[in-house]
Amino acid sequence: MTGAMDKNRYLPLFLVTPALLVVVGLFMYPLGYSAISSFQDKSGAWTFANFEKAFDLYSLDIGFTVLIVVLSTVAIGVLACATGGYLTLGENPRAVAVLKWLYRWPLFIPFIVAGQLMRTFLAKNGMLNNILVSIGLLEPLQATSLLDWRGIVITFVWKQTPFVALLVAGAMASLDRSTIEAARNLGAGRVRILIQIIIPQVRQTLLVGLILSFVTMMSVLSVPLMINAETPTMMTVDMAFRINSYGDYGVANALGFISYLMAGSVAWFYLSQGVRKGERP
Amino acid sequence: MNDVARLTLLDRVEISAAWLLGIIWLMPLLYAFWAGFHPPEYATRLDLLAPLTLENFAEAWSQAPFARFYLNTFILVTSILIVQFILCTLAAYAFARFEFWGKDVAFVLVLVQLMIMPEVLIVENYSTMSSLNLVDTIAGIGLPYMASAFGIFLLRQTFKTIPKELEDAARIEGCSVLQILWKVYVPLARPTYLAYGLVSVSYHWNNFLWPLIITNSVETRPLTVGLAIFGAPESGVDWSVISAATLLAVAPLLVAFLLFQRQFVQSFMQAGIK
Repeated sequence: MTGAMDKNRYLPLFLVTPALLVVVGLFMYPLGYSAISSFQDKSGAWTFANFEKAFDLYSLDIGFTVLIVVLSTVAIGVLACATGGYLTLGENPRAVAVLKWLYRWPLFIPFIVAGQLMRTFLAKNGMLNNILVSIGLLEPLQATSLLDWRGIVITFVWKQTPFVALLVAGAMASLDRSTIEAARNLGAGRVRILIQIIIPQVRQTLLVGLILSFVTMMSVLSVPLMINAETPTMMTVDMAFRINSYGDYGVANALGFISYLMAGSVAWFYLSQGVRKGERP
Repeated sequence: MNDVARLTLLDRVEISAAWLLGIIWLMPLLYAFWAGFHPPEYATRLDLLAPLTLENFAEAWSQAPFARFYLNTFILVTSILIVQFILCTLAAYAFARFEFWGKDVAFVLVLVQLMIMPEVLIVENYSTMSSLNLVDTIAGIGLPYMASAFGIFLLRQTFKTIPKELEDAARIEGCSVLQILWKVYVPLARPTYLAYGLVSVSYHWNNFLWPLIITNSVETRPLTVGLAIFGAPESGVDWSVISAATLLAVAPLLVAFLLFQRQFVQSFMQAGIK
């Protein structure tokens, strides 16, 4: 009997250990080590020099990264809610079916491919400007390249919106329709129903999708590298540059530390929301 | 009276707007198809009478070892997925169904991993792989991703929804823990496995920064890294060939999406991520 109880006591540890070994060995250890290394110089002495150098050289890029990712996250949230809302509240089954079929496609396009596509699509002499010129919406001399912060935001939004929209639309589809129908019967419009009834109920799902998108965008190298690798650019480009060009792991670690502080603060926000509501994450 | 005749003007406007929005949304992808299937002189010029060609695909295929890149990518995503399924299933079951010492701390570790992408740890992971002699190997690309926090989290949520009575019944029938997992939990969580599997394959097919850092030979490079080197401005390759190469890289994912999109979307809806 005691033997069986001991077995049961150790069983969950056996089940969880393989995954935890990978998490601790290849995530927590490097996370802690890189955090410590970012506060050390090459001789191992404690210093803030890596952070001072990182801020001296890349403060503009750090601000640029925050701006790009926040802007993209907001745009993704708005578009995902609009898409999910239309799929839930749309009264025209054909239009709903068309949108449902088309919006998901970028989901499986790799970031590098999205960057590649946008680099040729948004260039000054790219297809977008050529189409706008050919239909008379733009004079040839007015054509400008969108391969700057706008290109990065467009690419992030294009790539990530379907993922969040898919989560949000799923959550919206599983809502109790009676409150929506009741609001409709009372004369509420679709936009009002979406904002006041539906979005509050799918808030948690929306938050998860946006946080995962935020963290993903923070770590993408290919898009800023292909669309706008010149200053100001994103921190991932700077990290790759410090390692590849100078073997400067200290500053690269400091930039990494700053980026996971940003991601961590977003995660803390999500968890604190759950705690405030008395839920276990 | 047929359906078309019953459509009001507002219906037609709404359907047209949906098509227009959808096509604008797909424009970059449509552009890749356009440039890939037309001669280079039409790459940025929309001419509906432009001749179709497969030359760009032949050119792209001859200029880079795409067959090798495909094979590397296939081995990479499959091995990661298999190990993730095993590790995540075991851990998720423990988190969903057992009380044990350190459970909350262990789960917080998993949640922290969920919020920080492994890409920011490239420096330390590189030195770990180097000390394990795994630099420039497919195992070295995949190892940091073998225990997915997202997978553990998603499966734990699903396992928690499965009635405990089913497990008790299986136990009375004499099933061991692994048999209970295999015969009760895994089949009932099939939609979640499918949703997670597609997300994992898509993510690792797409992954770029870590494979770029850890690989330096054709024998190990996945498609994304091969494509970036192939499409670099200094390589002098024209846009049509780059577009063709881009389509070659993304074609298997698009085909998989076309084949499984209904199951994928339903799986995500049933998985109920919160």
